[in-house]
Amino acid sequence: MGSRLDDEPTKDVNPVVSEILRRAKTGELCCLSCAAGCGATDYAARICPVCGKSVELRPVSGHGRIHSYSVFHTQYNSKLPAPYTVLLVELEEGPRLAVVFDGEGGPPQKVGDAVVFSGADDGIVRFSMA
Amino acid sequence: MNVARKRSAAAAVIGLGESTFSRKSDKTARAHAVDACLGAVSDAGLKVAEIDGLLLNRSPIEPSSVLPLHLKRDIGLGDLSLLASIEAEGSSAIQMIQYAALAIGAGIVEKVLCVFADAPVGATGAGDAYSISMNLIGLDGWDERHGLIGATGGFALSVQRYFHLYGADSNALFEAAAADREWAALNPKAFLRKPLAKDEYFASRWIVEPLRLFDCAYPVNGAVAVIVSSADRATDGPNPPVYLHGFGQGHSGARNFAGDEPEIQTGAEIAGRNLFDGLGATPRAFDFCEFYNPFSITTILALEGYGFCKPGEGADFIADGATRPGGKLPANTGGGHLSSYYLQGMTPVHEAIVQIRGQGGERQAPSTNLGLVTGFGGRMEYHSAMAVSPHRDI
Repeated sequence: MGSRLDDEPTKDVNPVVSEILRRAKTGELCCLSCAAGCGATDYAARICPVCGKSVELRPVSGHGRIHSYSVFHTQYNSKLPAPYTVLLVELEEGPRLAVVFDGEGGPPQKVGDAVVFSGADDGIVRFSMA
Repeated sequence: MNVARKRSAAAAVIGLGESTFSRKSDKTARAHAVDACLGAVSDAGLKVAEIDGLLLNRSPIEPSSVLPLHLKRDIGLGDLSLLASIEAEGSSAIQMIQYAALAIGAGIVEKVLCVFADAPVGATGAGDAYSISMNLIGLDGWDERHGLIGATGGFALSVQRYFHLYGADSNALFEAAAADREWAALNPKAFLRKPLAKDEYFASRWIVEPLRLFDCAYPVNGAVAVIVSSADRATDGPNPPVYLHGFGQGHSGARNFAGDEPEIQTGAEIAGRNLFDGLGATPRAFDFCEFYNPFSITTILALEGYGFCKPGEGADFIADGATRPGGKLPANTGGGHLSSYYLQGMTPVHEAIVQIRGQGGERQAPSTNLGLVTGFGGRMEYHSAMAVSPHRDI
């Protein structure tokens, strides 16, 4: 446990990540979107895959559906005691994001279930059942 | 074997070497690599001085110092005309062989040594080695921060998605794991040879749900090396040549965005198309397959991605016995990554060479005129494939 992964995760070297987390802590989840108006793109894009122009952060609704999920049975991070569930959420704007499921002990989640952004107070973006 | 275009191979594997495969941390990857390289030179009936090319592949999760270019000096190589480290995650081993064959075909080198070495097993096992930060989403540090750790985490998402799309469940994974174990029982070098009972499989602990312990590769410390030569000189050595008839790479452009299915569209279909189109062949041309299968799901995805069965039908194909001993398409004949040993891309390459040479003993496939070997890396992203045969002309 924790031999390679320190309790404080890797520094966010990417300023985009820092900005997404800063805004998420205030309750505003963002995705990457074409600055020229082509719409939302995936989080790996550094240019718009449609027009090639730059991308920028734009707020999303915070609503989405579970595209996939997995349950981790090893603790790597003091903020995430095992078991914990990672959701791959498809935001209604289209991008997919890995987040932590906020609602352990409740009814089991399924692929396709509606979920909603529930906060990022501790620097970890969490979603709960909608 | 049935290919539309008659073809003659330009290159062949003429040497195969291996270190000891160990679950103890008694040697470095570099020391294992030396043993495998010298073994391959001896196996090919060559002298070290006859090697004029060296390609290295270390585990993508290790620093370059683990297997440096200076391995050249460790094994006493002289002047070389080709030297590089190849890194494309699990697709690297076949890429090394592909680049060696291309360089030989271009006339810039004659005998290329290709080696993979790794030593992930430490004092407390190999789990720590693979508990790494990866990048599925595309934001540096994001996955790790959110607890999405290791390749196992990524493939667990793939499994869950597969279950949803095709209505499958853990029984599908069990069939894939149990089939590999049946082959391993026939392979003296396999580490897990006892038949895998269903209750034992279902009782095994979760690694990342829905992947259990027996869904995951069995890591060892060790190295495998091969020597690629021109086909014209391939029959000079003591062992039957393994002719290289074609290669195909495929690196998926599927995004984590609505409409794409990166968990299922792994690049296998691209690598397969590139390979099959080059050969003028369909999947039916192949007598056996050696898949890169670090997780049970990957054999299922490979059977579907390379077109041996339809999407969603891979597990039934295995359950019906097609890939098992005695089946019509023997696959992972040494026991694969799950039951023989995990040395990344070299596990399937090694087994394909054994099969083509007819040295499989109890596990020898009945027909080996054309074999498919694959490499698969990253988080469902990078694929390489090659077609091998004991015949120079097909």
